[in-house]
Amino acid sequence: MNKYFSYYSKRIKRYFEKETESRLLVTALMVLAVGLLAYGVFYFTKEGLGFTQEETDPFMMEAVPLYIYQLFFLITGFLIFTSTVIFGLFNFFKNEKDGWIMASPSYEGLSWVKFFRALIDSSWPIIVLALPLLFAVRTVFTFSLPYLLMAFFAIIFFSFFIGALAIIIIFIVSIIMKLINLKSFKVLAGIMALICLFAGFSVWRQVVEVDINELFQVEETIDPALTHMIESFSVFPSHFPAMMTHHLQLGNPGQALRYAGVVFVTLLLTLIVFKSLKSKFLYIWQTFQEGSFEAKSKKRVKRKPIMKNPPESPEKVIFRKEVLTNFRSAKNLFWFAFLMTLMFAQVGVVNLLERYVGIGVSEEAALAGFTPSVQTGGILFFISALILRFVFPSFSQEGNTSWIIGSAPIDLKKIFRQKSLFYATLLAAMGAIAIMIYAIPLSIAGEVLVPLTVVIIIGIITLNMVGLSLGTIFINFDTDDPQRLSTSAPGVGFILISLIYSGLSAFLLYRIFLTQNYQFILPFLILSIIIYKTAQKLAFKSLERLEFL
Amino acid sequence: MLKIKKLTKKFEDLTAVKEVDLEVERGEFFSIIGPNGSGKTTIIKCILGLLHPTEGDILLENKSIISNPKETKAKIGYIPDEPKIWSHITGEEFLYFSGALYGMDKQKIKEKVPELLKHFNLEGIERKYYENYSRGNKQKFTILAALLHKPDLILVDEPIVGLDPEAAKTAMRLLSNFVNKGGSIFMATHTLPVAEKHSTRVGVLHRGVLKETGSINQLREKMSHPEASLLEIYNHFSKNE
Repeated sequence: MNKYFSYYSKRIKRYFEKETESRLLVTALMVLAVGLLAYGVFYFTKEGLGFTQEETDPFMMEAVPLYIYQLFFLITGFLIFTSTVIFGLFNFFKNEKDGWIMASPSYEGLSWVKFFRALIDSSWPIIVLALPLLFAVRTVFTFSLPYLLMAFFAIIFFSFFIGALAIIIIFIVSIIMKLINLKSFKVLAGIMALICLFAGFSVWRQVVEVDINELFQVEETIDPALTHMIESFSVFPSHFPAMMTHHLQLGNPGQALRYAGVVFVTLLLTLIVFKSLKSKFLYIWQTFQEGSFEAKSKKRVKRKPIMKNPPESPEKVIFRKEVLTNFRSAKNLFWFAFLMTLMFAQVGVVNLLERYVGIGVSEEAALAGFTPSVQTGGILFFISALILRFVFPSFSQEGNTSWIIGSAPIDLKKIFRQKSLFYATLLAAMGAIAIMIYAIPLSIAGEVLVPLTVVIIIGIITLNMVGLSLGTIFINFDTDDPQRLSTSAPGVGFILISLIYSGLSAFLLYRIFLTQNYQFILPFLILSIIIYKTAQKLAFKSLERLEFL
Repeated sequence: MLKIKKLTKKFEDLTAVKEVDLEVERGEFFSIIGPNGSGKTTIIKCILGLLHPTEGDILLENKSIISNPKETKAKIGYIPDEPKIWSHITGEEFLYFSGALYGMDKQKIKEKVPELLKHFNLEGIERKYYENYSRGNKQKFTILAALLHKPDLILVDEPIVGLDPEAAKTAMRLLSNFVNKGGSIFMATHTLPVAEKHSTRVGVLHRGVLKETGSINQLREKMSHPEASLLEIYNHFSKNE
């Protein structure tokens, strides 16, 4: 196994050997972007927890923070689980470059490498959610450094435990499928998608079931409220780190240590289970390499055509190709669904806040427009994440197949326009669904809904063009891996642009709601058109110089 | 039909192709031979407009490919050495897409595709996803895609790599028929027996420089060796610096 780790460490070293300055800059920018996000979560959580301690009511002091811990760890756990499923499914069984290692006698080591990579790559939610929460708790409630370290490692163990659990489930489902002679990777992906949906549904039901208003009405003693909450969340593994944090807050380090110990033991158990399953890696891997190689098939079955008619024009070829290649790819669908779930969850959480705290329905003008403005920024930011994953790498991903469009008598600008049209339509539809999820349950008034919709739709169209243009200007045929393409300097640049633009949109909307002056839309529209046109022009210029090596 | 004038292609400090002058007539099967890295694929990519020539021009029926890309590309078919296409589409869909990209009428595409599939006995598998085909079957689909829109010139980069002997024979028969009907072929290969059997003329490319062109007999005469094989011709002209 050591040779694999040495390979990966060399790969990281080599990454910085070439174009050292720009790659260091990219890394620094990414650290900055993640750091800013983590700091934002830390700041708001610290303020929120500080607010609960200003009261003398034990319910506010104990029950509300515990609810926050439970929610944070539950959502963190769900995100880790889902992202490990997506990463694990495709990285364990569908990496084209693994064949030669799997053919060597060192194949078993690869399972450990992939296992640890999946755990590390999927642990990002602890950096942006769980650890900022821990540091916020420590800032408000102050506990000693050894306990901070204990909690720190317990949270990392929790993350690894959830990731390991996801991989074990993938392995067990695969083994069962092989036993019943079911060899389709799509079926495995479908089953895992259902498991993720079930997990998501359980998380959502739990969040909705605990009614804060109801809890606030418990007046006599805090115990029933705490008991109810503990019971509600105890079915989830996230309960243990949440209880650990709760006891650290209360100054019960012994109890906290007990819960940290439970987290450690659960991780140890999953590692033992994976160790026993890893011997089956080759056995499962072989199954999912099998396609339906027709050259060996004795019987040829005439299937019904999936696409009945050829497209009517070269432009329609590009549009249809984008539809087919995106919607038939299980990996793309997984990522799309994952990011959409995050967006809808964010919209849902703001809805809950609005319903319970009543910010958006406040009589006060300064507060009335706050939530819809935050909502706009949030939706645009999540749409940017989709753009970064799907639109930005779109031209680079043509890579090995670029000879098809490159040799055809079709202007590359038309291809660009078709790609832009496809993604803008899809993302605008997603944006519209997000608006509906937000607006319908709260019966948002027309004077709020109309400007909000206009700003979001303009924003989506503009950001889509910026993402596609940046991906075209900085085209990279060295890889077709969207993750590698998205984390390049231009990808990080896009995220910074989208952060500024989303923030600006939210601020502008807030000004509109505050002043009731709808003319603010006009400069926003003009600015968006300028950005759109400039990005498109620069992309067209780079297409004129484009070479398909 | 195809005229390459003083074509030079540089990649930073590497000159991949240097001042190549070449003509391919209508109804001619021209093969360019040379080892890996000699610049064969670079010339093909310049003709296709996938690469911009550093110097020189390429004319198809007296029209510059550089200044009239759309018009000239419509008359060219291309068979790449790596038959990689978009993922998650079927062989039939790929042919549909290819036809439509070249502006073919959709009814015509629907009529033509089943006819073409018969050549390689591909009926019955055309509605399977492309990634599930063997390399040879993938190559067969790219050959059919190049023929679908009835081009005037077909650019071929290693046509029979990955094909079984029967399919290789069929592929070369299809290309020969295309030439017999007045089409032109520009083929890059290092499979010398194939070039020797089918080419009306060959060119020897060495380190980006076109050393010699002519029919195999003309080249034999030039080296005063009437029995020379194409390998001997190649060795002779490529060493003659």
